[in-house]
Amino acid sequence: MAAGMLGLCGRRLLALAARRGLPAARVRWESSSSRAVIAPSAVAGKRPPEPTLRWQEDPDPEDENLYEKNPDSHGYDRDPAVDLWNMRVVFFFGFSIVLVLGSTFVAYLPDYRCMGCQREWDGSGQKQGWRLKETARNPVPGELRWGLVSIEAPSRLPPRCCLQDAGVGPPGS
Amino acid sequence: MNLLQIVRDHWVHILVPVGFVVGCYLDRRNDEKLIAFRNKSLLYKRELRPSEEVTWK
Amino acid sequence: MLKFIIPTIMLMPLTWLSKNNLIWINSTAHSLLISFSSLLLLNQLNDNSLNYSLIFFSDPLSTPLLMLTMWLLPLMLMASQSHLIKEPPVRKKLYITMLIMLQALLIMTFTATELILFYIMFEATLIPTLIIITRWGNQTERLNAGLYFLFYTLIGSLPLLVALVYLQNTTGSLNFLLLQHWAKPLSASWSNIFMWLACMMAFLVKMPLYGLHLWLPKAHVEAPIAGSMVLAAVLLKLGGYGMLRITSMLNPLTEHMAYPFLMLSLWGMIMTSSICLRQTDLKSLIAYSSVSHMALVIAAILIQTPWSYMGATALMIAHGLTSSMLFCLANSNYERIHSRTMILARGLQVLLPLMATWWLLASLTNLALPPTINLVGELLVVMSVFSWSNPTILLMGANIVITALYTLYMLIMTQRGKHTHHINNIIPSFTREHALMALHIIPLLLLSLNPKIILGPLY
Repeated sequence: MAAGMLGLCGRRLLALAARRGLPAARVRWESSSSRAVIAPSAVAGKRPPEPTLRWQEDPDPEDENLYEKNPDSHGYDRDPAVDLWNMRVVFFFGFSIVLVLGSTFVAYLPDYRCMGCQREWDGSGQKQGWRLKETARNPVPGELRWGLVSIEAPSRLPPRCCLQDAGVGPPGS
Repeated sequence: MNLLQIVRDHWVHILVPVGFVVGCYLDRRNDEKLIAFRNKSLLYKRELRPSEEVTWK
Repeated sequence: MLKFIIPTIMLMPLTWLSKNNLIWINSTAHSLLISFSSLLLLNQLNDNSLNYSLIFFSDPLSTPLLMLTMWLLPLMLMASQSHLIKEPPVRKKLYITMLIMLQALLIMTFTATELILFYIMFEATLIPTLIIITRWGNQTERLNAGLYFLFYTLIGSLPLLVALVYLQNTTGSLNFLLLQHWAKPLSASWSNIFMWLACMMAFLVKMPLYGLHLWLPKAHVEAPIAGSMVLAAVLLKLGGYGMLRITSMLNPLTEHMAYPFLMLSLWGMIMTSSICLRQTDLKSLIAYSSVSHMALVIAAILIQTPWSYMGATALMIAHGLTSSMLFCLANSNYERIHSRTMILARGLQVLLPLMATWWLLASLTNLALPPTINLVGELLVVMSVFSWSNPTILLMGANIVITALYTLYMLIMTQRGKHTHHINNIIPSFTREHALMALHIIPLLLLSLNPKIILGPLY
C-alpha cells in the first residue's frame, strides 16, 4: 500500500517535472546537415523544408505531452476517462484473459503427441514428405560428402510406452 | 431510456462475437459435409481397427 | 479456420462503426479476444494436420505462427496510439483497417492448403504493408523504401508463379497435403535446378538471404512502428514458412542445391552482425540484427534434419517476439528524442529506469540468454549445423559472440553514459508502453516454460 502510494507520488512528481519543464523542451538538438554535426537550432518552431537532409530525425518534432493536461495519463488518449478505460481494457483482456487464462488453458491441454500413445510412432515427418537427411540410410552423393559428420542420428525415437507395447521396452510399470 | 442509450452506444461490441459464432457454425457445417466422404475413398479405404469407430473425427 | 477469419474481418466494421473516441479501445479489446481464441488451435488431436476445410488447414508448424500473428495485432494497435494521436479519426480508422486486413491476409497465408492460394495471399500481404509504410512512415525516404520492398519481393516471387504453374501441369495438384505424397524425386537436371531456384528465391528474398536483404533495413527504418513490428515479427516468417513447406516437394534436390545458399547465409550472418556493430541508427541496427537471425533460420531449413527444423520454428517465434519488442523500445525512444541516432539518446537509464529494465530484458533475449526460447532455437540450429559440418562452429561461434557484442553495444549506447542536457525534460514513460513491453516479454518467458508448442511438427 505504502509502496503503491509512493509510486503514485513519484509518477505525479515526474509528471509535474515534465509539465514544468515543457517550455525548456523547445531547446532541442538537431543535426543541421546530413553529416551528424550537432548544433542547437536557433529557431525551434520553423525549419527549412529540406527533409532529405535530416534522415534520422522526425520531421515533426513537436511532441504533445499527455502529462500536461492529465498528470495521471496512461498514454492512451487525451480524454482522461477514455484513457483510464483503455488502460483497464488492455490490462483485463491482455493480462487477465489472454495471459493468465490462456496459459492455464495451454497448461491443461492434453498432450496428444505422447499421452497414452493415441498416435503410434510412425515417423510422421517422413509421411509429411520431409525426406530428412540421414547419413546412414540415405547416402549422400560422394562429391557432397566432404562436410558430413558420420553420426547416425535417429530422426525420431518412439516414446517408451510404445516400445513396451511392442514388447521391446523394459517390463513393468 | 438509459439502457437504450447504452445499447445504442455499444452495440458494435456484438460484431466480433457474432463473427466468431458464425465462423464456428460454418466450420461445423463444412465438417459435416466432409464427414459424408469419410472412409469412402477407393484408394485409401481401410478396415476399422477394433478400438475405433471412424477413421478420423 | 473461418472462426478466426470471420471475427478478424468483423473487426473492420467494428472500427468504422465505433464512436470516434472508442476506436482504439474497441479494436484492442476485440483483437485481444481473437488472439485468445487462437489458443484453440493448439488443441490438435489428429496426428499430422488439422483440416478445417478443403481450403484451410493448420498443423504444428503453422499454429505457432498463427498465434504470433493474432497476438501481434493488439500489440501493434497499442504501439501506434501515440504515433497517430494527431491524425483525424477517419485516418486512424483507415490505419487500423490496414492492420486488420494484414492480419486477415496473414491468417489465410499461413493456413492455405493450396499453393496458389498461398501464393496469392503471400503477394496480397504486400499491399497493406506497402500502404502502411508509404502513408504513415516518418521520413520522405519511405517512398524509396516502399519501392525497394515492393520490387524486391515481387521480382523474387514471380518465378515462383511460373514454377507453380509448371507443377500444376505436371502433378495435377498444388495441394500441400496431397503433393507431399505425390511428389516424385527430382533429378539434378538443369530444368529441375531452375525450378528449385524459382521455388526458393521468393522465400529467400522474403527471409531475407544475405545479398538480397537490402530492402529490409530500408523498409524497417522508414516504416511506422506497427509496420516495423509486423515486418520483423510475421512477414519475415512467411519466408521461413514457405521454405519449410516447399522443400518437401523439392527432394532430394535440396541437398544438392543447398550448398551455395548455406554458405551465403552463414557468411551473411557474420557480415550482418558486424554491420550492426557500426550502426548509428537504432532501428537500422535492429533490422540488421533480424537479418542475421533469419540467416540462422535459412541455414537450419536448408540442412533438413529434425533438430534443425525444430530450431528453425522455435527461432522464428522467439525472434518474432524479441525483435518486435526491440522495435517498440526504439519507437518509445524515438517518440521522445525525435531522432533515431543512438548517440543523441544516451543515459536514459537514469531518466526512465523502468524502461531500462525492459531494454535489459529485451537485449538479453535478443542475445539468447539461457532460459529463453531464443536459446532453445539457436542451440538446436547450432548443433545441427555443427553435425552437418564441423568447421561451421567457427562461424556460428563468431556470430554468437558478435550478437552478444552488438546487443550490449545497443544497450550501453542507449541506457548508460551521461545524458546530454537536451533530454533533461524527457516525458516519463507511460503505462501504455510498459504494458506493451510486458505483453511482449511475458509470452516469451511463458513459452520458455513450455517450448514444445513452438517446436513444430517434428517434435
